[in-house]
Amino acid sequence: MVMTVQPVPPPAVPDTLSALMLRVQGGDQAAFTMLVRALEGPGLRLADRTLHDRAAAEDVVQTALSRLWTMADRFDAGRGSVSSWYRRMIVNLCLDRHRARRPMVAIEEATELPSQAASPEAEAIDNDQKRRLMAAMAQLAPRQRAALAMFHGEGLSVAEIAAALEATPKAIEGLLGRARMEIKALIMAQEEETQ
Amino acid sequence: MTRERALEIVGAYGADPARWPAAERTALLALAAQDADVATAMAEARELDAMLGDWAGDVPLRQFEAQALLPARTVPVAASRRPFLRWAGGGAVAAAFATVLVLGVPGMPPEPQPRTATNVSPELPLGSASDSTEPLDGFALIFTPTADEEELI
Repeated sequence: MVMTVQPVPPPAVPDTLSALMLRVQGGDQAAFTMLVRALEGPGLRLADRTLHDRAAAEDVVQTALSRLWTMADRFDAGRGSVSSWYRRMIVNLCLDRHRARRPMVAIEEATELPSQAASPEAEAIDNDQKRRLMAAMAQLAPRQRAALAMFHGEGLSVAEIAAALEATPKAIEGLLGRARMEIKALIMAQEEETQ
Repeated sequence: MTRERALEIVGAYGADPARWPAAERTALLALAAQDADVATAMAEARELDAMLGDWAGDVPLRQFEAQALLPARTVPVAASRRPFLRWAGGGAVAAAFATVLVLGVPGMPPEPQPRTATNVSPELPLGSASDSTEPLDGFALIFTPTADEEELI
């Protein structure tokens, strides 16, 4: 009689962040610190670009990072990654804050953007372009800015953005398309005004 | 792949084929090679992609203090024990005082007469009057802390 040994598939290795999150669920503060270091940058970029308000963005990120600890028991690796859970928290906090406060974006601030351009002429062009883009961004809805930030900043797929914004991929495709079209139109309108 | 769908994809996803839906990538690339409108849309989208990439990534970052994000309940036990003991000691004294008030002090008259200046004879030394010594002793019994209580206070 010949016995065949079926190869046992290796256990699913959770990604690094999920592994850290499991340790956080057990009360491991060192793991929490590592999780904070990994997630603070992406969170701040997303919140800053969605809200167009630095102080509010920092508040949002602080709240979301705290929740990684206080709500750790709610995380279920089977339902998605830590990143997507955290992103959804950031987006929801941003949208809640926007609804509550409706912060006014100071378009004038865009004129004070620092530039890394080499020559004064290139610097002027660069600053002008950034100023126009920032002013145009201020006109968009926060959901549009969030989608653009995730797509162009974090390089997320439409499906991942759909998960964060709790929408369908098709709806996100439309959201991105309209946002890009509006940005182009607003920038062109500004260029026509200055000519 | 229709021209409308090609323009829709370029308008939403930009000019980088790597970001397009995988199922439509090949057909769109083939159409872009033949259709001037699609090629123009891609050139315009490329410029916007660069601007949006800069916009999304150009955010000054900062580090958050992980310990400060933790709620107060995670304060180490050793640090929190000392204040607890101090309050527990104070609580014990308060509980003892409350018990005495409820049960009364042995030897204390149930309704002591109010002490007034007219009850004390001017000839007698202060505190020697019989109607004043008993309540004062009772008061001392209640309010004089023991050595252990002194330490706690």
